[in-house]
Amino acid sequence: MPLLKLEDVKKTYHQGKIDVPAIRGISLEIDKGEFTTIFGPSGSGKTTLLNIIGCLDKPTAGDIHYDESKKLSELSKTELSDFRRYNLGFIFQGHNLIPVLTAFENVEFAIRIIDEMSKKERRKRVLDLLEAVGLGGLEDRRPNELSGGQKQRVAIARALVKNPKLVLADEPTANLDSETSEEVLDIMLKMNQERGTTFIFSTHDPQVMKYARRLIEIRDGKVTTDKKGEDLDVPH
Amino acid sequence: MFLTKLAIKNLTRHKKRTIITALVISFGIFIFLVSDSLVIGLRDISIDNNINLETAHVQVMEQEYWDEREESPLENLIKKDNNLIQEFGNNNSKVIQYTSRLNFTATINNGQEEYPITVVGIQPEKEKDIFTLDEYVFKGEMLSPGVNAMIGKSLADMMGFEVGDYVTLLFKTKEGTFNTIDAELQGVLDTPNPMINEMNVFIPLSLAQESLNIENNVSKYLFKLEDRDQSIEMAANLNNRFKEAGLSIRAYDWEQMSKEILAMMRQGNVENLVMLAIIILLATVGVINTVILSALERLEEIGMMKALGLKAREIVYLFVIESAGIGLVGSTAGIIFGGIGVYLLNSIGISVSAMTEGTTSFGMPIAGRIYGGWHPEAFIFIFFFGIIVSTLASILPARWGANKDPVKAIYHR
Repeated sequence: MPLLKLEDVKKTYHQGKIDVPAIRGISLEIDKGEFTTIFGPSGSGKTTLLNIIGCLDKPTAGDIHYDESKKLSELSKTELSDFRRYNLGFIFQGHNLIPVLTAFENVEFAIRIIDEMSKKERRKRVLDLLEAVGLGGLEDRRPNELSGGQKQRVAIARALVKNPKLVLADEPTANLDSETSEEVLDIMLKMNQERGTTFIFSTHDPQVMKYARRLIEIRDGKVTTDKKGEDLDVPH
Repeated sequence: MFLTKLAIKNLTRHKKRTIITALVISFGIFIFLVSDSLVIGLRDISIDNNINLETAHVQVMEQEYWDEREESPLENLIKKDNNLIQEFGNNNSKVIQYTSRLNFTATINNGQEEYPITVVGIQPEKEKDIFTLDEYVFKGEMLSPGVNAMIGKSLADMMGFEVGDYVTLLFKTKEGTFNTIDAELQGVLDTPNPMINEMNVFIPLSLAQESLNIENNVSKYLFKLEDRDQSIEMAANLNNRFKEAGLSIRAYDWEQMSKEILAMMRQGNVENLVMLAIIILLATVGVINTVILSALERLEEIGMMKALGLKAREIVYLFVIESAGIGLVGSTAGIIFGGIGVYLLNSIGISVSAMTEGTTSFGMPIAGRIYGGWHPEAFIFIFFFGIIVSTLASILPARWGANKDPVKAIYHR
């Protein structure tokens, strides 16, 4: 059963009188537990597609279904916020941590706004996750006391802490050196394998593709390649 | 609670900006408190000066005289030996002392030039118990019975009079004939009331009555009570007696005689409203500026929060609490600065004569120094006012930030 189903999704931006098509009709199914890489050059529509999947942007046409039932085009702004709050995790290029909060508090933020756990449970879950991403003992540091890679790990922990159905990562390694990029991707892959969390991340870096378990290539707003498993010719 | 804590932590992000915005608010609050204190001080000093130098607590005069009292006419006078008034003055325990005065207009002459003045016939022996004129004798001594006169410093300077000189007063009697008094200048007054210093010549009541040929008549009776708060009740009490006795005389309390001052005080209240408007403006501009800057700087963060599922109203709440925090800091600082300002105004005061070189008193019976007054309610009011204004001022810019499209916010488009 697919976790996510896109039906002929299109997105057109309007710049003055000019229509700029960013997504030109994409249909996809993503299964639970998949580790999917969306690959393509800059401007190909990767980020737009992730934003649409992440309910941050609405498609101009087409529809998206989660769990085969929820039709996202039918949800209001508030319902979309609630959907993101409970079901989705995000990892951004720029990590977007809150500078006045510690690593612990930044991760805790994602579950504090859900507020379904006791303080003790919350603390345990955050500390376990920070440990899992290799930041054990650094929970009291503020973002300015962490390296780029460490910040991105905090962002990963923040995305995972609420056990979301899907984690979306838009070029999560774009601002990192190759060694740190590999560390971050290793962690994402580990979380995918250990927790079964579905990941979709975008990249234009060919070096990152070796991590792909499913590779979707986009060019000019269209899927040009969609390979997985043995069809992938990248080394694992 | 978590968002509240985050908002408080956000205050420390740009400490300088937070402090500057809070200082702008505190400056407005400081100005308001000092201005309020000054208005209260002016009111108290003006009223005290008026009561202690001119009106006493209650005055009794003919109703028709009251209507024309500014002209100090010689019509509608009352008998000095009015039994009802004397009985009341002597037997009422709340009356400390009572006296009578006779006012009339004249010109003062120094042999070269003359100047219009009001002559006030007083009972020197009773004056001390009712008024504080004797405390302001600048040169010479307090008026005593005889052919003596006492004038204000401004008038003495203007006419070139010294103690011991003879002042000539030229006036018309009730019958319309001209008469003069040549009185020896016994004392020069320097009171806190510029009008007295410039316009009044005091002579003994008996000399005034004799020179005007009006025998036993006076313009009014003046009563000093234990407390000024008794004035209204006492005036009402007297008026009842006058009515019962079928007399046309009436008693007037000090408030009725200080209408101009009280009107000016109301003007002071208007000034306070202007100050409030300035505070609203300062706080609003400061807070809106701060919130917009914060929102612009934190666009990616706002986008991230929206991506995590935070609703627009929760982001608005975050900014509003932050602004309330700035308001709290600003109000607290404003209260402290204002408290210091009011304390200094209370203890040191401001020299009015230094500011105006004694040429004006803004129409109030004040000269020398003015002191502030304490008004605790103003401190409480303005403290909460500062917080509320900065909180309300943040709502619109916070909504602007919170309603940003998450994609545009995240990618700074």
